[in-house]
Amino acid sequence: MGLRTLAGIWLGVSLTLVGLALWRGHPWLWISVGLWWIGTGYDAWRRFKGRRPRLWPATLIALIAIYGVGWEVTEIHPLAPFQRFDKMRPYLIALTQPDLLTYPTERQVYRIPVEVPCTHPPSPREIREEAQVWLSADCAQAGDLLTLQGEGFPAGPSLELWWVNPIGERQRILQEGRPLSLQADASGRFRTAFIAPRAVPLGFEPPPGQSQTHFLELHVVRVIGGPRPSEALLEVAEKMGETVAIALLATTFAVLIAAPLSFLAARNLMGGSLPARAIYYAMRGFFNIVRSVEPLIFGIVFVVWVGLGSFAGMLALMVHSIAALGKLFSEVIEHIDPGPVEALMATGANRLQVIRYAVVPQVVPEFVSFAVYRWDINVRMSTIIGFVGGGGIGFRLSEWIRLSAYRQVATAVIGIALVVMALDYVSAQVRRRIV
Amino acid sequence: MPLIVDRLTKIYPDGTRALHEVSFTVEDGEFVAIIGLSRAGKSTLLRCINRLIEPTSGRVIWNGIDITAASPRELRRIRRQIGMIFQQFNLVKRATVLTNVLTGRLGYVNPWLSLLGYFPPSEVQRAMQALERVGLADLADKRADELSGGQQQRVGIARALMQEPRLLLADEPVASLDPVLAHSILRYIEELNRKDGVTVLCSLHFLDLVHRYATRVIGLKDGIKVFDGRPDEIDDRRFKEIYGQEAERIGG
Amino acid sequence: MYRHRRWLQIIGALLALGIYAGSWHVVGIDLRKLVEPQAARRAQEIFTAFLTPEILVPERGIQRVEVPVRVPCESGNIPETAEVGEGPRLFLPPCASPGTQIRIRGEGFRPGSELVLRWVFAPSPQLPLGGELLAGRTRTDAAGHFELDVEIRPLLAQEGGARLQAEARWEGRWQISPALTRTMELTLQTIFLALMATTLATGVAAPLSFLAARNITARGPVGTAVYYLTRTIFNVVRSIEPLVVAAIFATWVGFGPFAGVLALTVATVVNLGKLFSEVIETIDPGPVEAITATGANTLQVIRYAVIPQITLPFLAFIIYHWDINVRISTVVGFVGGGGIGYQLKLWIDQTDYHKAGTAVWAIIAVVSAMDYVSARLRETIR
Repeated sequence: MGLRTLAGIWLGVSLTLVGLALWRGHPWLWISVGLWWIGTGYDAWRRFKGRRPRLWPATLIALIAIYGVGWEVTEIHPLAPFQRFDKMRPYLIALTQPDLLTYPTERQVYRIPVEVPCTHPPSPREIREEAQVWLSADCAQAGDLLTLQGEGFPAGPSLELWWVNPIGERQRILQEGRPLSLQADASGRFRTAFIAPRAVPLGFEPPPGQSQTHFLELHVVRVIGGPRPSEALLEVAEKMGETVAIALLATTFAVLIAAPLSFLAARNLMGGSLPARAIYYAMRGFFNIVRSVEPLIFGIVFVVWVGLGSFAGMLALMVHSIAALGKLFSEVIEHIDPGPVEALMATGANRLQVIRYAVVPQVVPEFVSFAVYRWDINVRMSTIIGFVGGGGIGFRLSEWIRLSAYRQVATAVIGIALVVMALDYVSAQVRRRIV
Repeated sequence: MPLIVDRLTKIYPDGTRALHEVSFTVEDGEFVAIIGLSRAGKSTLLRCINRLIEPTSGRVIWNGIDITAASPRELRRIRRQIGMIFQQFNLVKRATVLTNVLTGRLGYVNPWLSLLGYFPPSEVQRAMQALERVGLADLADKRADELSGGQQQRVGIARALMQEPRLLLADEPVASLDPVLAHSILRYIEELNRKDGVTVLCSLHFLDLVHRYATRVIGLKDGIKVFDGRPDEIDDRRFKEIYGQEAERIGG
Repeated sequence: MYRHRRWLQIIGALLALGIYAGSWHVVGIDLRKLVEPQAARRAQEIFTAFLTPEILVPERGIQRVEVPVRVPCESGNIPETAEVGEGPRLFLPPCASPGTQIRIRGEGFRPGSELVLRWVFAPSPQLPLGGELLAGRTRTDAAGHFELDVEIRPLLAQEGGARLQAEARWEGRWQISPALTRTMELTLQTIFLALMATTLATGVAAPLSFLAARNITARGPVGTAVYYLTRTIFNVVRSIEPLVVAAIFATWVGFGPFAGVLALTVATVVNLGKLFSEVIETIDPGPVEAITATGANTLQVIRYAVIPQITLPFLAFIIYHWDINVRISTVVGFVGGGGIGYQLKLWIDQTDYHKAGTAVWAIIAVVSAMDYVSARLRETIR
């Protein structure tokens, strides 16, 4: 490394460290600044004495300081992923059982009244309909252990227990955090114990010494007919279609706009006259500025402008793509073979004729290749443009994440992965054919 | 302490028979040239001796030790005494010349310290001496890819010197170099052979080089040894046996 | 044959037309939405605000003093009293009769500021919510004094008096806007977020990439299985945008930059893993052979023949991904992943478009700078 490079690095690192120390105000950062200077001074002394340079101690100090600040600023809690693993577990479980299919069902319901709370000593309650059910107590309060047994049930269908309070709120009976589901044995009997849930509605508490009537419902759930796609699956399919459509239109419009603009940003075509150069620099600047703004940021702007929905998302992707493609296109134009251009100029063709007959034929294949590549990127982007209200799967996905609808999230994530990978493959194939 | 190659055979997984029952004995201090067409099995033969390629059958015995039966640990101890230089030099292009030379010492130094990039000062000094011997001491801190082909091969020789080898395997050491440079490289190898008494096995392309440097020639054709004798014994008939009927003798 | 192709072309064109028509319908393209008066006004408002980001704001100051005044006076005329505050002081009679004028003097106010006098009424049967009544306006002089005659209105008599409030307001020197300070802080956080994620990802991806390199791993059935498994994981995870991962991480480890770091780490691990493995697949086998021939052990061969060959290409990809990660981390805050994104969305939601403009320009500056720096660095380390 040359002395100039070393001096540049030394100055850059020194300024960074001092800046960080000023920003965070920790004494240890000032110490690291001092150690950096000592370390580099030691290295300089060694170099001066003609010994082998030794820069690693100083480098280590600088890295520790920078990463120390990074650690603090980004609020890294190495233990959080483990301590809060319970928040993640449902997602992992859901990924193995995404919400794909539902089976149409028919329910036969047995309702057993239960008084809450007990105002008399509890006695068993029996219901006789097609089959017989016994509940161990006719009154209970939240937390009581109750036993339910039955006789004369069909062996196939699954049995679910639900608790219904006086205002009709219904909750599934849980066992160890999971919905309780059981089946009658071959002789048509079953027996289960469960804990009465907390169900007294807020504001409808019974006066002291009195009780209200809740119901324990036993559902006999029979599957009638074959599997059919679940609501989430249909929704994901529809929204993925919308997602791909957003990407398709955004890319198409972007190509149509960027292709002509890119000629204005090509140095080899815009040389010469002052206005041409001014246009060149303006276009370059425009492309560079717009390119550095993520589509999602355009997304929030367009959502304010034209309202929620795919149109806003399409516009956002389009604007970013115009800039990104415009830059790539103009670079393609800058790297064309100048021979044909020269030849056509020699024939006395004007600028537009030169472009039409010498430039366009050379650039079309690469334009198409970049457009396909951009489409690929836009499909990925359009899966998330909905996070800011730009339509597509993202909108639904962000809602499901907020509502902790794990299985639906899993369905959406799997849908995205499949579509994106498929289009990735297609676009790679198309690009290989073209170039 | 001769090198005994006994019915060495190598058949590659795709069925190519690169060596077929090749046997010969090399005495200490010999300069053996191995000649033959490309793909005649020269590289395979050299690489089977230090087991960079596992032979299919046959034995290689050196210093009374059966290399072909050595455990990985023993094999490394044997390899560190066998220097090797290559047609493509096989330097680490992005490392410095000095580091490249020091890697020749990896079989001797503390393996754990070497992983940290540490070599004892005595080894660094040895490396500088090796570089001095090939006339490159002033380029020690350059990156290997900044050197010319001839210089790179001299670094390759310095790397082999670091091993203090008793045997040097040279696989087409000059085939990628200008003919003018070829002599300078081979003179270093000759010096090793004459002054340090290192046994040399060197595959070569040009017969004039063989005549100039080798004390013995082994000819290979399609993996079979077809000639073993002194360089001046190669007449037109022998030449056509080794190189095929269409070959024309030039030079030498 | 030709006819056959012609038909295929027609069918293809019709299919494309159908796809575009369907897409047009699904996306709900309505160009009128762009120019509707209300929409156009909003757009104009946003863009003009973006072009005038909030960078400097005048320092605003306010001083307030309140003194009770009884109306009417209970007993005769009482001399002027001084109400002494910390800084500004008011001089006025403690009571007054309706219909008269009292003279109010002030001292110690900020020189040359706008001064408003008003009566502040406490809640009463007639005024259940209390109330305010403007008493007069003036400016303080160069010494911070003012003098004003104030009329005692009948309402004051009806309420039995009120508190007289003197308020001095001024706009001072221009100073760096709090929005700019906040933006700068969050921009730095954004850069660090990308740095931490890239570093963590490198630590994970570098060893993993050896598993996904055909020439290292794909040997024997177990190796081949590991190779394909790693490749598949890389490809599947790569298809999920980091923002989706960030949204899930935000519920896992809580909102904040750490969730963003983890999400970007995951995305970067798979991208770098793929690129790294391709680097490893294309190393020159010559040095490996040469160093094996010196009697070096496997670890030494990796250290001296493989690592020197891959370090610089790895470094180039790492810098490139730091650049990409800075871009992504500008928006990862939209889903609770820290960085400038969250604040930007907040400002836009609050229609604080000037402040949002500050954030947008900061993003443009930092992304362009990273773009340039990363390109230059990658050029030098080749």
